[in-house]
Amino acid sequence: MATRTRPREQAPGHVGRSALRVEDDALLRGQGWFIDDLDPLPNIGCAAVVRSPYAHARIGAIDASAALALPGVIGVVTGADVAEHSRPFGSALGPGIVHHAAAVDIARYVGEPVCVVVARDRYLAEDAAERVLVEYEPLKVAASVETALAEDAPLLHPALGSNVVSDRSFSYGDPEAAFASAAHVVRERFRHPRSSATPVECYGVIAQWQAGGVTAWANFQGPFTLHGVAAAALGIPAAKLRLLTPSESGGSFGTKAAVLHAVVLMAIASRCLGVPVRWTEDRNEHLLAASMATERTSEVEAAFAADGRLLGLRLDLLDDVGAYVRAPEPATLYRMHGCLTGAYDVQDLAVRSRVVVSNRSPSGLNRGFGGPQLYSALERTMHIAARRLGIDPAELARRNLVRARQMPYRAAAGAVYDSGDYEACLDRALELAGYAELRAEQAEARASGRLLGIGLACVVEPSVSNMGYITLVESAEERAAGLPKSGNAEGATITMGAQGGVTLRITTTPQGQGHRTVAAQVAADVLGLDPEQIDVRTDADTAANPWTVSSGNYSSRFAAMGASAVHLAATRLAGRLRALAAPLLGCEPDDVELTGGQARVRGDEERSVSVRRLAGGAHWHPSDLTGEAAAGLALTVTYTLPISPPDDDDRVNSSACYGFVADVCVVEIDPDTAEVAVRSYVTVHDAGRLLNPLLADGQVRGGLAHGLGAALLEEHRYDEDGNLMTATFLDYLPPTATELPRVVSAHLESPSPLTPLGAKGLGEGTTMSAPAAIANAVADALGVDRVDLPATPQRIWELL
Amino acid sequence: MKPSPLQLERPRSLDEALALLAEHGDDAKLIAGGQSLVPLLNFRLAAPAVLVDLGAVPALAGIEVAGGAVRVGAMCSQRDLERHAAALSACPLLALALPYVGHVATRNRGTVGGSIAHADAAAELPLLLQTLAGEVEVTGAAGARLVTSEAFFVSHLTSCLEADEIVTEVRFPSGGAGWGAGFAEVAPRHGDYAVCAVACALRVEDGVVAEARLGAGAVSDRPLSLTAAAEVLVGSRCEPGALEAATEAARSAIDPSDGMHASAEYRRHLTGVLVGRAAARAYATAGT
Amino acid sequence: MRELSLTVNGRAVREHVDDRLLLSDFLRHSLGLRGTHVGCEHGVCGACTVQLDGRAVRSCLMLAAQAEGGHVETVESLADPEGPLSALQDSFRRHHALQCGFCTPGILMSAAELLAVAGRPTRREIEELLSGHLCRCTGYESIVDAIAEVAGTEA
Repeated sequence: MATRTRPREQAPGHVGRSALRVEDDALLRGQGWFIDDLDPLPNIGCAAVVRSPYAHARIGAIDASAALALPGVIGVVTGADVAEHSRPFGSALGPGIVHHAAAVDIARYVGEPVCVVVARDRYLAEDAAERVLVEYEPLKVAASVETALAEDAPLLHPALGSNVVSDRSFSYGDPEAAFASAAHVVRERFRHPRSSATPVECYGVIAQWQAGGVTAWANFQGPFTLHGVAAAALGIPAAKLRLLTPSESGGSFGTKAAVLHAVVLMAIASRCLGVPVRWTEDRNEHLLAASMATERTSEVEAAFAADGRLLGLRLDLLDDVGAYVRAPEPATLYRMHGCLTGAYDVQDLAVRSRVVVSNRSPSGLNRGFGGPQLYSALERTMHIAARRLGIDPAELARRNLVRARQMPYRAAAGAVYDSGDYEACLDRALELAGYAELRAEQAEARASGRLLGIGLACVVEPSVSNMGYITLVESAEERAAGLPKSGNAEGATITMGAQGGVTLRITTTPQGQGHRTVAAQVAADVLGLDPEQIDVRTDADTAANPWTVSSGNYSSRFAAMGASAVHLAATRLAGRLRALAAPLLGCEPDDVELTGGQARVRGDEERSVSVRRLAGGAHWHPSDLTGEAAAGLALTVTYTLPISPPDDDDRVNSSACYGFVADVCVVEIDPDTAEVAVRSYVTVHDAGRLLNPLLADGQVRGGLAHGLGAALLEEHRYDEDGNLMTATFLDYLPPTATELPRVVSAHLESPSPLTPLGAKGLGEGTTMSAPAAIANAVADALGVDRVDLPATPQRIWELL
Repeated sequence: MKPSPLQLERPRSLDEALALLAEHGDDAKLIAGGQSLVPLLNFRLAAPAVLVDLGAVPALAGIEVAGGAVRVGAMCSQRDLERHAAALSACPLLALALPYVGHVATRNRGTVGGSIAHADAAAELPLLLQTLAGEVEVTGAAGARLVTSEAFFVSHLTSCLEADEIVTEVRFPSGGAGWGAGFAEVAPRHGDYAVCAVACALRVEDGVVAEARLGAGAVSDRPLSLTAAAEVLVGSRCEPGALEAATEAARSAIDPSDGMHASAEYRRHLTGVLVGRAAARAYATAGT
Repeated sequence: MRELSLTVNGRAVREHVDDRLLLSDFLRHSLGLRGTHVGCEHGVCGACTVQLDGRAVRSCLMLAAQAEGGHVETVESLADPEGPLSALQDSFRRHHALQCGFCTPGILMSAAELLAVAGRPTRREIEELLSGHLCRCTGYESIVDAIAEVAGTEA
């Protein structure tokens, strides 16, 4: 499949244009509706959460009398109430891990909710929260991977007998033979620290319990599998949990999947106190207890032939998921499973995947979701190998990249890379970076004592998760005994009003990715209308929207799933319009084309009727219609991408589509202060057909900022008692404008054969690549192998 | 994160403010720009029953260059000082250091007096005052007195101010002809609290350093005068050997602590590096 | 509790406020001006930035009562509700300088102050101004471009 743009229809359309966003006008005027702007019910109480100050403690008596005595306090809800009115959250690792919306008998991380205080406003609620007296009996703490694994570690969930709550091994091909025949083996350990994407808007919930059900508003981002988890925890049928999302969300990057656990807690509070309950999370709470990326400890062994061909890989991956295995964990560990071999053609692979719990806040979705963790180990290994083998890193990559002619390529652990020309991307990145000149400049710089480093990363960026991949946490026998999970589906509802205006409803829960704009572009092309005539509603309502358990905005699924669902819905509606037009134009429906707001006979422009007229007729005079024309101008579709569940050999195509990113990064390190400056950054991306290049580029740049943060600045640190040392923005340091270089970004397009528009998802690729590229550049500058993340001046100084 | 209940007083005069402090004693806290205090209120790390807001007291915000000093009214915003051409000309260190103080929006509200009174060991304005051996005018019920910088900064976040005293003016010595200034800081990101900061002012006559002032911030529990290192520079031309010696003297004179973003040893190392850079710049700009 | 009088977006306002009410909460909840957003409540993220007497300030770091007698401008003042976007806002749109839009009002108010002060900022000066604002969506370069265009900055 040629790596260029090859549109299905040759006529230029709205798809593929850098259309400006319809979302912007309201946002720029401060007229967006974010969760804390909503006031949907009268008499809403405001919650403040009493949280455990201990990382591991038995909870004793709770005395709320002083809190209740304050004027304006409506009530206090404790763990006992939560236990009475809810069941533990379902977890992929079974019922041995008892996780309630608030700590019931034992608190297992600093910041875990213990009580909810509800008052007339947040100020009063915080006054009351300070007055709640809780008895704690501190227990031994395991607040690091090392202490959690230790022989004498306190067990967080004694029923499981170990803090290692999952331990699975996989073998593909013949890794033993590969290692036996290797000329070189590179073996390294890596640690990818905890971080969090910290959107500027925190969580927000409004929950009301009424008549045996819950109506809740939250800035939830999906996956909607968690809707079922929340309903089950509340002990109500899923249909009785009506979840609404506001039209705007202030960023999520995965973190607002876990807001549903807060919905459960506030719904219980509402049930107990008889008022709707609003909780607006503050920054301290968010950093403490919302959702962090897992800490990953990796041991990588890579077997190389003398010429640098990668023969085999052994990966020992350990994810710390925090105090509970909160759904959808341990997905971080398995999201990348099918493509653990990355961009390289290597079929012999051994993997050990372990999940450990510790007395730290629960992990969850965070931009990149397993990708940063994988590539900061794999791409670093390739860089180290290049040094040891005496081969230029670009050349080493080139010798091992999956070739374009191999597409679709079945990776060792089961991923099927749908399309791509990785060599072309790498070449383009090297060309844009001026790689040869950079190496020459580096040689000169070294001679004069300057520390200039060049780092590469080649990453395969999966998009659209196969809902079945998480079942890899079970053995094949266990899977066979249960219900299968697979694939990904998305819904869209489209209606045309009597005046020809189109409304689209989708459940893709955007947080700034411009779904309304792109969806309108897609529908406009199919229907022959202008995007301005298409109103796209992205505020979700589980009682009214078309949605599936895989709905939402995660694993970069919009371009492949959301846009495809829109395309399918618009195509069906177009069929209805053609059926309406055909008798009026005296032709067959297949001869009707929709363009410029008209339905006209192909090849005979004079014979046409306006779409507006067709719509009016369908609404006002339906009794005249037959066949498809009588089916109406409102319809709902479900678009499905079939991806098989894991097979009996534990192979799984863990995602539907696979993009590719090749980055070249240049850093210079001040030899006296050890400060790192990222001098330049080139990123070349192939995410299939770009629906809107302007927005796609925005995602690449935003993803890169997250990746740079993880590389140089961001780390959540805990002391040995489990206290979070980075609980404010004075200590947790996302990058600002002065920390980012000017980025050169380019796109190649290898259309996916799997989606109607040829688009793949994107938005996480540079978050996956940048930590590796930057760490490689730092290692290159210093001439060392080991670079710990984040590569702060302190760490670099220790390496000088 | 909302403040605890408090009673806000907005006195219209200095006397009224002093009377309020006397009346409420330890129950009262002064608020100036609030950029340091309000975060503490929001985190409930501070919960004074009474907040005495100096924002409505007139005539505390002037800037005057007189008597060999830049005399800054306590309620003068950091931003106003940053944009005061005469003050910057008289005391070039202010021009170099003020852009490092937080960000524009915090400098718009944050006050010079407030920063001094807050006495953060990593803050730039206390460092400048200590380096230049400046003075603080402190006003209490008994009237105004001048306190040296050395006496004012007691320890991290602790000054010599009594509960019923107010900083009313801050005086940064201005050098005049022959003086050059250098300032160097390392922070995790632009505008963050310094991991290490060094300020230097040198008076150079015929290419030879005649007077030297050197100070370091974030390496102790208060801004430090590096007098021994400064002495090393006197009589030199800031040639590499002299800078080396000053660097060594500075490193020997300090006893930094480990912190979140930097270890004690790294801070010690940085101090030396930044002394060299600040002194070189001060020398280069002297006489210009 | 006290009576607070000030001007907000050109309109005289008189409200009863609790002494400890933050200016950010006053604007959002007492006056319904929801364009000002709250991201951290300790003055770092900049999302709450408004202008007081022409100066950009963190509304989360002020008690409403401290704005007594002052002129507060929020993002809602940049354009007439029925009218076109201001040149600055329009530049943001054309440069795709916003994604989720949550940090945007604060940045607009800071940038508006920068533009009002005479002179042509350099790109570095714009970056330094922006360093007081956290954005997790855009990677900042498009924001610098948007402001630079309106400011007439050299590329």
